[in-house]
Amino acid sequence: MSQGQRIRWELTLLAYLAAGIMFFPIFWLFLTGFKSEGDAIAIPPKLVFTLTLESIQEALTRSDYGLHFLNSIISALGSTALALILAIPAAYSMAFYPTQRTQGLLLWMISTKMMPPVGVIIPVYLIFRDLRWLDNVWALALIYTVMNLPVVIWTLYAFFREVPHEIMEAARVDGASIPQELLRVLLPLSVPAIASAALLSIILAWNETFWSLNLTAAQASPLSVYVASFKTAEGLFWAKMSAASMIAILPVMVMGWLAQRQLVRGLTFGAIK
Amino acid sequence: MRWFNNKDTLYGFLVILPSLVLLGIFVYGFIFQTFYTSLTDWGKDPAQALAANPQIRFIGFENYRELFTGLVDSRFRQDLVNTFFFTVFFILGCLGVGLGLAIVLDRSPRGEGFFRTIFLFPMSLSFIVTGTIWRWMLQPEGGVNQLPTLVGLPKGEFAWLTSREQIWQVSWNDLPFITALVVSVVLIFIAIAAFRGGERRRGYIASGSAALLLLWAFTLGRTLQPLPYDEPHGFNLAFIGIILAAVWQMSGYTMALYLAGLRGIPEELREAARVDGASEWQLYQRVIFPLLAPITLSAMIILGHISLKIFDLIFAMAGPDNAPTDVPALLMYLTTFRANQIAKGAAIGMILLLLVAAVIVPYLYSQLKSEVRR
Repeated sequence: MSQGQRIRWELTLLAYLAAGIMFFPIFWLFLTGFKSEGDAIAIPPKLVFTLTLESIQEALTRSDYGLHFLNSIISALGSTALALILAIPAAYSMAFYPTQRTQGLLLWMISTKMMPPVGVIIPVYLIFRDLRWLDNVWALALIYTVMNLPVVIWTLYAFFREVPHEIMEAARVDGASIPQELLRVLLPLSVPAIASAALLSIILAWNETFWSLNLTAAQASPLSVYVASFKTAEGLFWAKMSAASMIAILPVMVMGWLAQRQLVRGLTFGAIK
Repeated sequence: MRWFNNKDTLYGFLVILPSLVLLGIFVYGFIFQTFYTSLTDWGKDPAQALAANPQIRFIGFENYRELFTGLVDSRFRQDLVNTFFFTVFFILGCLGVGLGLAIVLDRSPRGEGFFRTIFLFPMSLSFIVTGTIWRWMLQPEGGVNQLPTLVGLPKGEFAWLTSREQIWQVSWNDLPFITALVVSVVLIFIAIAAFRGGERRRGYIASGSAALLLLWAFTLGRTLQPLPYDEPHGFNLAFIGIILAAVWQMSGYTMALYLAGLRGIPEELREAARVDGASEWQLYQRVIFPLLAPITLSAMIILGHISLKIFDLIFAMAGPDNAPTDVPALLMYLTTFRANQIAKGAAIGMILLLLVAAVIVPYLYSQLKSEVRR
């Protein structure tokens, strides 16, 4: 074996080792979700145990699990739909009719995403209190819309900018109006971009906790708050808690796997091309 | 034709307007309102805190003064120190682990997609779930403390999240002085770099400010005592577990950034360095790492603003009431929503906002300048 081959072999081994360590916590969460409470706290930890769906069943049949799941879906999908409706025309206008201020405007929008929520939550909380919007899942969806709007606009803008102007001009020459141009020409072209922007927005909304923790209570809280509250409510029932966390992350795990590239880009805002 | 252009511009503006108004009101409008709230005494009198029409007095920067020099707010000062250490180690950890993983993947091309997926997996989880998983692994009787028993050693005894041990203690009274020294050193480095690069004006400005700052530090800075007594603050060892979990979650992100950067370095450049007789280590040190510097800077900014804002991870891992692992965002939550001290919570929020702005505004501004230049 030549030296080069050996180094390569060692590096591959190292990569597997790192992957094992990185994946272990998730693996353990899933394993524990399928254990009984007794097996979950056994010391030394049990790798071989009797598989049981008991914990999952218990987590699912708690009366409020379905409600929180539904809240997560409403707030994530609702906010994403609203953000797309606002973002598509805005990104279209910025990409195809740029002015001198477009870049500045875009970065200003991004700055709103990066600001810490602790700097704005007090007025929001007080207004929601006065409007009786606290513990309302649609009000939460509105907050998520504002939260994710910059990312969605930016993702769409980055894609629209790459669309050749000739295509749009050709449609214009054929007599299409601006709304027609947008609906018939641009949207069909940008299904992948819209899908990835939507995925990103859903994942971010699904994982959000600061706003939902402060603005919702028993009625409107999504799964993230439920999982966080599990801690105080049932501190020591590890198997049940793992089962609940596991079901809570399953949807985003699939979406996150599909949208890994978007997650990295969305967090970086294209700083690195 | 001009008329058409104007009409397009008008339409263009009209479709952006809703987003602008929404973001403008919800973010900058409310920031302004929070700032105003932080200048009042709202919540100081518990009876007024939740009243429908509370009587609020304007008291200027009193809340800020109390946070930095008041007797009861030492927790806030410890939180600032916590955030500092957390940010430093979180960034270093993510950069180190991410770079290591990226180099490994860059050099062993087999199965890159698979490894990439695994390393990025934690990133799609919420901080809440990450916190839940790690809280369990770091339990006194749990996972990580049991690891040594696998190879026959006695089990670990470290109380990962509740340890009260503190190292590297510094008195709060010495902080202005130390900060001035550190900033001066940084400025001197900037000045040296500027003179070397031939930017004389920049060099003079940097060295001049460094000199002024040092002068201040050694004269007035030493006499500036925010507190009448020494109040030690340091690095809480309980944060090690939080840092572990945060690095686990975000190092895949830096890995992805670095991997993209490494893939962007043309093979000819590496070959050329090898032909010139560079060893592998020299190749990395002289050629590859300098090329990755801009990525490192961007990653530091992104990770830095995440770590300043961190809330949910610690909320899920240690809970909001665990003093050793407190950060300003958690304290703001407790102060505002538990203790109903609305104005003081607003002041904490504003301080955190200023810290985040100090990190991201220069960055976004430089992005703007480079975009315009292109």
